[in-house]
Amino acid sequence: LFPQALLIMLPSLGTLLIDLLKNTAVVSLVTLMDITFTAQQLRLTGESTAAVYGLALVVYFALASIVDIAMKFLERRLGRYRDYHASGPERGVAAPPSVRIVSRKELGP
Amino acid sequence: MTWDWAYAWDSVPPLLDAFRVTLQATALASVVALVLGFVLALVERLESRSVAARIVGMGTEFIRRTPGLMQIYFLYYVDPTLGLTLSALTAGVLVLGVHFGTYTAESYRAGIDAVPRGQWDAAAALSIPRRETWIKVILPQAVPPILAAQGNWVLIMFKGTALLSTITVVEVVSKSQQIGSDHLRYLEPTVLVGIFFLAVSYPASVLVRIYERRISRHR
Repeated sequence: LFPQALLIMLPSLGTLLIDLLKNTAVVSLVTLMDITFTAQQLRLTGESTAAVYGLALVVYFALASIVDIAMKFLERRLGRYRDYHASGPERGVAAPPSVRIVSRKELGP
Repeated sequence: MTWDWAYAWDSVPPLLDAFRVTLQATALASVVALVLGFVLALVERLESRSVAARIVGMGTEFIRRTPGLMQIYFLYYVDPTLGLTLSALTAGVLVLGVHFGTYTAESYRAGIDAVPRGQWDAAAALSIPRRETWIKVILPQAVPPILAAQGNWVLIMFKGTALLSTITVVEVVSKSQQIGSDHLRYLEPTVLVGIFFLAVSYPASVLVRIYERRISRHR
C-alpha cells in the first residue's frame, strides 16, 4: 500500500519542499546567516547590488531545480516499480489503440 | 513581562492606520496578480508551442522557484542602479503581484482543465461555435472553482504583505516594530498585529470555504 501512496504524495511533497526552501529566506530577518543574509552583507561591503542579489536568486533557483529534478526522478523510479509489480491488465500495459471516430455518414441511417 | 493594557490600547490607533496600508497593498497586489495570471494562462494555453510561450514559461518557473523576499530586495535595491526609482510600496506591490501572478496563472489553467473533456466533445457534437462553447459551456463551469482558488491566493498575499516591512513600507508589521522600539516593549504591538491579521484572514477563509462548499453542492 505504502509505495502506491508515496507515488501519489510525491508531487505535492516536492512542491512543499520547494516552498519551504523559499521560506528559509525569511530567517535572514532574525539575522541567521543564510544566503539572503550573506547577500545583504556582501552588498553592504560594496559589491554591486545587482550582481549579489542576482547571484542569490540564481542560487535559490538552482537549489529548487535540484529538488524538482530529484522529485521527478523519484517519481519515475517509483512509477516503474509500480508498473513492474502491477498484475492487473489495467496497469503496465500499452494503452489500447484509440477508437476511431466514425462519422454519421459512415454509420448510415 | 506582563501585558500592559494601557499601552496596548494606545498602540491600536497607529496600528490600525498602518493596517490600512497593508490592506491597500493586498488589494493592489491582488489586482496585479489576477490580471497577470490571466495573461500568463492565456499565453500558455493559446500559444503553447511558440518561442514566446517557452520564454514566458521559463520566466514563471524562475519566479516560482526563488523566494519572494529575495525578489523584493532585488527589485527595490537594484532598480536605482538602473536609473529607475520605484517607491517602496510600488516595488513591493509589483513583486508580490508578479510572484503570485505565476501561481494564479496555474489556478486559472487548472480550473479550465478541470472541466471534463466530454463537455468540449458534447459542444462540438452539437456544433456549437468555439466562442459560444467558451462563453456558454466552459467558463460557467470553470469560473466558480477558479474564484475559490484565487480567493485563497489573495489570502496568502495578504499575509505576504508582511514582507514589505523589510523594504521600509510602513505597513502594520513595520509599524509595530517601530512602536515597539519607541517604547522598548514589543509584546503588545506584536500580539495586536497578529490579532489584526487573524481578524481579517480567518473570517475571509471561512467565507471562501463556504463558497467552495456551495459550488461543490451545485454539481
